[in-house]
Amino acid sequence: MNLDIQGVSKQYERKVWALRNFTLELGPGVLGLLGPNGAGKSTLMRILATIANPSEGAVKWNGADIAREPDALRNVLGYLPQDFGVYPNLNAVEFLEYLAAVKGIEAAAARRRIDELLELVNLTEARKRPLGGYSGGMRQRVGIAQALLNDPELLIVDEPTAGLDPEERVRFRNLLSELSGERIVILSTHIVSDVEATATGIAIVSKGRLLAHAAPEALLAGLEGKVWEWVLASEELAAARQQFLISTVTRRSDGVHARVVAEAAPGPNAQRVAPTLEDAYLHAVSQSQRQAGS
Amino acid sequence: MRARVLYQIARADFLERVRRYSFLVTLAFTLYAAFEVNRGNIVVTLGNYRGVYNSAWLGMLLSLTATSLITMVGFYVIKNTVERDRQTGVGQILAATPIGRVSYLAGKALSNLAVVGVIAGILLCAAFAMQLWRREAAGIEVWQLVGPFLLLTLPALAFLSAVAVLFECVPGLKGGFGNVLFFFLWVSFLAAGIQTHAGYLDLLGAGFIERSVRQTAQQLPGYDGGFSFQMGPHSGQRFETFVWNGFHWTGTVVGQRAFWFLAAFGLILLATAFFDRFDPSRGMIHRAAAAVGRGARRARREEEESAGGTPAETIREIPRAAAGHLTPLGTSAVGGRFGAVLAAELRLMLKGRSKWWLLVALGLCIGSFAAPAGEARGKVLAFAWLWPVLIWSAMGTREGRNGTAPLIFSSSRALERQLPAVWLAGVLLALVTGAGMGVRSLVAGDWVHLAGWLVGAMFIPALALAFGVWSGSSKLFEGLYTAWWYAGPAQPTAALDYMGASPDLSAHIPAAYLVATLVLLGVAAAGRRRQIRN
Repeated sequence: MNLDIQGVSKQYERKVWALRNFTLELGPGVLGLLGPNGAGKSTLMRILATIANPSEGAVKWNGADIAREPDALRNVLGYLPQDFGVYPNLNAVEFLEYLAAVKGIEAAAARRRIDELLELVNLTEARKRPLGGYSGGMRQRVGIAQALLNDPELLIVDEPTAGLDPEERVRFRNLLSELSGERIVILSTHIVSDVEATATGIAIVSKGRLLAHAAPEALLAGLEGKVWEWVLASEELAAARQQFLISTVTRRSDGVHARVVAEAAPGPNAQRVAPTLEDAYLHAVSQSQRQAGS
Repeated sequence: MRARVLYQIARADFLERVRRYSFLVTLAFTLYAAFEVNRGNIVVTLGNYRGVYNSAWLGMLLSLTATSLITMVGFYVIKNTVERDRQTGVGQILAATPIGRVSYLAGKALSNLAVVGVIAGILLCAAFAMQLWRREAAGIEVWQLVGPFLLLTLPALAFLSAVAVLFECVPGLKGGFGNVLFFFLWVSFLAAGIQTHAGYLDLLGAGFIERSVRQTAQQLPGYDGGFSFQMGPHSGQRFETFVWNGFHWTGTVVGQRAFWFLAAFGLILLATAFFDRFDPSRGMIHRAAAAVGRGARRARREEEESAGGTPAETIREIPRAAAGHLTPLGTSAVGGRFGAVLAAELRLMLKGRSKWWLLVALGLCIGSFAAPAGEARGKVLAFAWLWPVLIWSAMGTREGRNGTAPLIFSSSRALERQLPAVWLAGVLLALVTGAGMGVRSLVAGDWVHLAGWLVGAMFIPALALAFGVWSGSSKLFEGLYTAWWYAGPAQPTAALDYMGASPDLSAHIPAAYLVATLVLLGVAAAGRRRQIRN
């Protein structure tokens, strides 16, 4: 099982590139795709989901070019787009039965699968209610269920936890971890904590380019000794922001506790702390912005 | 302040619309209409006469063309201004501002007027250009060219703009039913205006135009009293010409035309009563329904409480499932049959239809069996195949409108399996609703009508699918199909009869529509291919 993204670029309008020369090779596991808004994550997802063609480069699924042979991938693809809709007059079972037919799943197998999926996404009680009356979070769970309908080998989920309450969010993260065994899962998000809990690999994207691709441990190791907790006065914060990359700020009685990513201690009372993925992500994005600026 | 708000609402909406690709298509259509006028395929004639193409005649002719075309086609172009705010979510933002309903809807109507006004403006420019091009009369008289546009076309367009806003606000008229109903209202309204000769009912001003040009033509030798405004290929007949010097704008006439502005404002005020301010629970009808519902719920609650039962509205805690389990799907479970997709599409197509809809469809189906042969049977079939228009019009647009496109288009063989299933579901619907006609033609050995019926059942969904896939909206099919239905099978006019309803059907008509069906299916497939891989 192999997904090979070879030098993929996507141009939407003249001189507007959503992706530039994106190369990545993936095997089974959960890839967390992190990047700021407009980084090109959704464009990459659409290309991988075979609903957009790359302007340059190729994507190969087990050696087959998905632009030429999309069905080789579509048969084993589960896709949860960032924005999707439902048919409001159908209930969850009918909607999933419809999509199961479109995906070519046998009726008996589909029925069993739909029961299990509705149980899994906690919609069994609401299964007979028209989807038009569902809340945003419930629709999102229907979306998750449809992505898993055909037991996909490649599961692409774009901002899957948007609209989910904290409990459902944790539930979905656990589900992704359980599913990741013998399949490739690509989880696109800008919420680092979602990735932290599930990803076996992380790709950081900014302005259409791949900035880093590594295991979470490797990304964290790269920042070892470069993250500091620094207590400073409130009025010093603005100046510190100009000078350093500050990932988080917490206000306490003794002053502002700033988490700073820097080679050397930003101040005399700065304490070295263990890096997090959020630090690594912000560091990678800010470095690329600095390089682009210079 | 209010004028500025009105202006900004109209401006933003106008700019959003004219910067869309579809507006370019509308402009191209307008230029084509002007070209047809210049070719003599859109004419006003009085028996064997037509006017010399001076400023007065061209102003009248192009103004009448603009008013006739825009009041019909324009409705389908502009009837989406409130809906766009609903779909884009801008409406939610606007609803949270202090803007009043009247200001909002008046701004939207003004934007509608600006859009159709641009279209009319193009035809006005065409009138100038035609006078220079044809050189039948020297000297351009600006008022003679502009006057009819200002006093005849503009009031009609203002009224149309308000009608479109009203249709968007009234719950039952928002969707496809409103699109179909508008066509019949338009035809009836037009006919009533011309026949009654009452200026206040004559939206197009056609009666006023007729009286004005007739007055001059009365003195022409051999004038038979006829007046005709024709659109379509001209017969090659050569007309005598006469000079017409324009309208005599009396205070009464100007007052009659100004009435339509007043009527437009009245419609906007009426629309405010139905406008839900982007909260479906706030519209007039919903408020009434909610009041009825509240009463019913209260009665039920009281009944339950008196019986010691559990109140119906108690929300039960949904139990959280423990760790989930998914049985792996074997490879044999995936592969799928076409029949399953077809059944799924059929179910989707019919889901949500009321039992009344089904009952009427059943009645028309039975009627097509019971109706006597000949024209009556054709009429029943025509109605049987008008009734499902809103189901067909959703074909090809459903995926985009409901946001399911990425889910369906990323499935295997979406083009080869799902698209044909959608079409075939539409064909099956046509076959069932018009079954009587087919069965009786078969029994009678009337092969031409049988072929016409069969081809019609294939043609309608193909047309809907092609229009839906390429326009992304159901309005194009709803408007055009209804007009085609009216001009073709309902009259019946043999050449336009795509369903074989005319008694004097010849074999080459179904053959032509079969070819058209194949072309439309190809067009739909090409459009869907483009949607799947962009």
